[in-house]
Amino acid sequence: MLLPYAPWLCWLIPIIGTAVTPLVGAIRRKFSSYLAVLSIGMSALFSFSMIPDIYFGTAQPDLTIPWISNSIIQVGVYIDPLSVLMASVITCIGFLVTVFSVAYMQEEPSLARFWFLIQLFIGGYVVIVMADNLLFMFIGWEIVGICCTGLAAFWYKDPKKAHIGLKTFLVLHVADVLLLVSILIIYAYSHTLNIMELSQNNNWMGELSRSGLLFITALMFFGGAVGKAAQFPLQEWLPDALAASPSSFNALTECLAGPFLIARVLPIFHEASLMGYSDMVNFFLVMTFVGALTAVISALIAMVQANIFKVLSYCISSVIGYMMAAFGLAGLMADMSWGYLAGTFLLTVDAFLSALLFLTAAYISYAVGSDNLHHMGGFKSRIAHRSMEVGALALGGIPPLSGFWCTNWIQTIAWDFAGEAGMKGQFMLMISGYVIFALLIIGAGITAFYALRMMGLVFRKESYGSEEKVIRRPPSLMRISLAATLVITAFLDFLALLLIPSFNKFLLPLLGTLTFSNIVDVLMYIVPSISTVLTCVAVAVGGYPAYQLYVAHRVNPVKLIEEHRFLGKAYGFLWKRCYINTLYHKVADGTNAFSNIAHKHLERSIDRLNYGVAGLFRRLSRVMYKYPELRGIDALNYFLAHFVTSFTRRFRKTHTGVLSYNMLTAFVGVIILIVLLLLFGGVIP
Amino acid sequence: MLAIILPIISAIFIYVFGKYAERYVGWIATAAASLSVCMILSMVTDVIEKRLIHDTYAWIPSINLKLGFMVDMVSFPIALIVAVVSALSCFYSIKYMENKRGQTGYYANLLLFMAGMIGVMLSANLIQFYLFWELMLIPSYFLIASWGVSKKRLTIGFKYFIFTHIGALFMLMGILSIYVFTGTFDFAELPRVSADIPSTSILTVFVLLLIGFCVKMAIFPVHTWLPDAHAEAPTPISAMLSGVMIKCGAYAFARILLSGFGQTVLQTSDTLAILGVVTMIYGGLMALAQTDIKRLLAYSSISQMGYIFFGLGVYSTIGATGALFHVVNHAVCKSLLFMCAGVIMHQTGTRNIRRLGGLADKMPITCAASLIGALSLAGTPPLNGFWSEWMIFSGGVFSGKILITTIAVVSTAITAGYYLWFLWRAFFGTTPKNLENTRKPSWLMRIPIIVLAVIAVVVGIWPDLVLRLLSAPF
Repeated sequence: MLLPYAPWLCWLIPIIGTAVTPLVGAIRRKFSSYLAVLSIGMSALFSFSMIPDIYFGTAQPDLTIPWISNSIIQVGVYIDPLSVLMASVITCIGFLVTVFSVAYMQEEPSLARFWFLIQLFIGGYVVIVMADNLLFMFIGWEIVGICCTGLAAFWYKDPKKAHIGLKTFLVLHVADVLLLVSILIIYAYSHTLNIMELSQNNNWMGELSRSGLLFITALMFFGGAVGKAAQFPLQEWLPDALAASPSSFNALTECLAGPFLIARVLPIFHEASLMGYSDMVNFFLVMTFVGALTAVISALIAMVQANIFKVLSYCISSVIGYMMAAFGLAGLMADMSWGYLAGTFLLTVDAFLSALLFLTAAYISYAVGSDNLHHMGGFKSRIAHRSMEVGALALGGIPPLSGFWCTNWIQTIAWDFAGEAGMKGQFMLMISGYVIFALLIIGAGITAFYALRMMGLVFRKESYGSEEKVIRRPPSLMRISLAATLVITAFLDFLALLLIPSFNKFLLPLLGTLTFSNIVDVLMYIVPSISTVLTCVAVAVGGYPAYQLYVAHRVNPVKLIEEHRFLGKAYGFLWKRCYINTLYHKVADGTNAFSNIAHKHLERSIDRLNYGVAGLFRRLSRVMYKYPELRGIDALNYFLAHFVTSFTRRFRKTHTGVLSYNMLTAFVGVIILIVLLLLFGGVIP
Repeated sequence: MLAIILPIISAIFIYVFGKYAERYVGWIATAAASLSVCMILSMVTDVIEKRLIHDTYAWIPSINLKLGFMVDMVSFPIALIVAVVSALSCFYSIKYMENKRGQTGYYANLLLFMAGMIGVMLSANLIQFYLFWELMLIPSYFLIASWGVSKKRLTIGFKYFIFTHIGALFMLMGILSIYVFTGTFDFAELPRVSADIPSTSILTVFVLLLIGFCVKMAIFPVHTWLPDAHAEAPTPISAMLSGVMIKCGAYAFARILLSGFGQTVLQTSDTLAILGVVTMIYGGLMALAQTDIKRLLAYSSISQMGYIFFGLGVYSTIGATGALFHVVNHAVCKSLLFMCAGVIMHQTGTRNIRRLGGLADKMPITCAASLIGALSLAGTPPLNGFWSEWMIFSGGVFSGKILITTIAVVSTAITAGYYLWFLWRAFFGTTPKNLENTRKPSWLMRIPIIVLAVIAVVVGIWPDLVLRLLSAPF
């Protein structure tokens, strides 16, 4: 290992930094910034130091230390190409964002809280990627979720933003609960949480499949990823959370944890599919469709948003849809490596691409003091424009840039899959393959539209509305880190094609087969396909109206919408975000109303029942007191007493005290005794 | 043993001589309670080395009854947390109950209450257990009925008393039938001799005991005393009631039913698990409907008792251990939340959540502590509540109840829902005009909160700290 203990320190350092931040911040506000730069920089350094180990294959894959005695719960790190790659990407972007934020947040009064959350976030994120067992990964997962909430509600004084924090937490929590259940079920069947052991010993899948739980367990696992990755139908937390949180943070793209999670467990699930558990085919189909649908729906909504951060968050959601589709296709096909490679490559490139776009957006919004796309015109800055060009053109799928290759690659896989299924005679799968292919192509067209629209609106010469706009000059630290991000992203973007073979080589331990040994293979696979043609058509169809509307300004979009009723309706529908958000609120309100009703009727009636029982006893006691007690037993007592006294009173009259009477009664008594003796002969019966 | 007797003696002492030192009575009581904590802590090495502490003294030889105290891996952590929470509540009361009348009586009752609870945990036989069970009821009744906050306190205190007492009588019947069948009251002999109980009547005995414990734990549908009592009591007492008193039921379940009636628990475990889940969801839904801070927390306690009941009811080692761990964690977090609620009520003068807002910058420590408490109970790692809930639910899946466990896990979303709603309304958003002059709470109230929040975080990061002292009773 290049640096000692790197797999541990890369996540431990930011977490220690988190713990120290409140103290350091209390000494001096600015120190917390320096601490954050230091801790995240160190973390990036340690992450990078693991890359050579992977490349030369000298790393020890799994390190653990026990956490709870007498149980299998451990803290462990898993060192493989995927984890090291992601850790490096995250910490690298994290470092750039940190440097950017030092300047961006310098006037914020609660700076220490910001750094607390950011460091904890990066620590948690690296825990997700480095964890070797599902429970530890889940802990990182939750930490990231909480930090997202905390950052969304960072300016908690604003009731709207505080509410967005609440919503973010709840939506993420619903997904996390699904993930937790599936982890629990896997744990119960396999008796291990370790990812390596899970993949080596897959008897548990057989047992799960026999009990009929395999599909539902896998689906719940995917549900967890859907929430974090902002996929349909749980995507609505992301745009609000990102629009509310301090914008420089957005570049950290927490939602990429979702596709990472899938990439992490995909080999295990794929193995199950190969072993012939037919449930898994359905599962992967669901995954692919969710991905493809999200790619289209999110892109559609992104077309009309005015807030630049909302546009970008729908853009991420849409791109992650492509990744999910790639992973789903990888699972469906006999050879996983095509889809897997495409998904992970897109994941890596998009992490930087999104970071670049978000940092640019933060840079521009800092300068013009608004998040609204329409207010961003008139701001001249060479670096912001270059960044936006690189980002938006790559996103829109303009040929020599990475976006074109990646989407095209995934579409080709979909086409191949449909062909493969057709040859095997699996008619439904073939149809599904073509539908997915069509959805992805449509997605590419829409993406081209909104990417160009965003670029056009940002580049407008004149400002919209307010004439007297103060344009702040961003501090040089922001410019430097933006430039650094631009350089890295441009490198990845332009050389995407060249990088694919070496990327493949890097991931070789994971894939097992070398799919692309050199650039010619890549070109041979991607370019001569129907997908290339259709992608170019779709990009042209999507891009041309956007160019006319927003770049060349030949047509006024507002007028267009007013003139065509259908367009207006579609616009309204998309502006309301397909009413999915409204649906969330309906569900939340419904639960609330239900609990109120239950409280009103059920709870009170139970309480009334209790009081009723108590009242019954009281009434019973009153009746008992009246009848058996007063009129019965007590009356009998009184009656007896009364009887005795009245009897004696009457009897006393015979006691006259005259001697002759006494003698007479004694004489009568003696006679009675004699009669009795004579009758019974001395024997008393 | 000294840990129990000490609070009793000091309670009497305070009651008799308290009027001479009215101003320091709170401090004296806190000192006595902390001393009791130290006494219990001093046994920690024995517990770690798995040495059973079992002291007995002759009491009534004719019925084979001895006075005895027993400390093992079931009772020790719970007794310790009882003592810790009581001592902190006592400390918290110094400021919170500052201007209330009858200080001496209050602290005397508080200490007696504490002694009763610790006595329940450390008793070595059923009769002693029952006596302490009643000993904790009586002072807590007085605490609610005399120092309660509203005019309804007498009614509510009475309701509380009757409910718990009826439960206790069921339990007494169970205890006496055990004696009739086995001829012993001793806990240690219970697992061995429970086979003597004829199989026809074992279920009856089991149900009698269970009813007694359910009432104490406020399991649906015998829970309605709890929201009233906990909302009515003065806040430090609510923290004790909700934080630790209702756990006596859980402890008794583990101690008597799990160790003595294992087979019966196994047979009825489906019913028990369903009862647990119903309580969980029902308590959560009720909490969602509340606008009063303390009632919300009280219903949340019902819901959390559902988790514990579920963990005990599924009858698996990891589930029962998790349930006992959750007893400790819930004690920490719920007392923490009640104390935070007390701070809010004390500083703002309102207990209606809808009238609060934007308090985060007025009382940042309280806000952070409430966040820790609420997130922990909602099962968020790396806080302590996550571990116990994880263990409870893995107990559920390990005993094969996958569907019920799934429902249980999904219901944690309700927990997150009502807690977040409460935090959002109380601490975030804009501050209403009438709360703008809210002052920071006194340090005397903040210290117990900080202590509990630190415990929650430390145990969350290092759960072994408690788990080493804890094991399931079978």
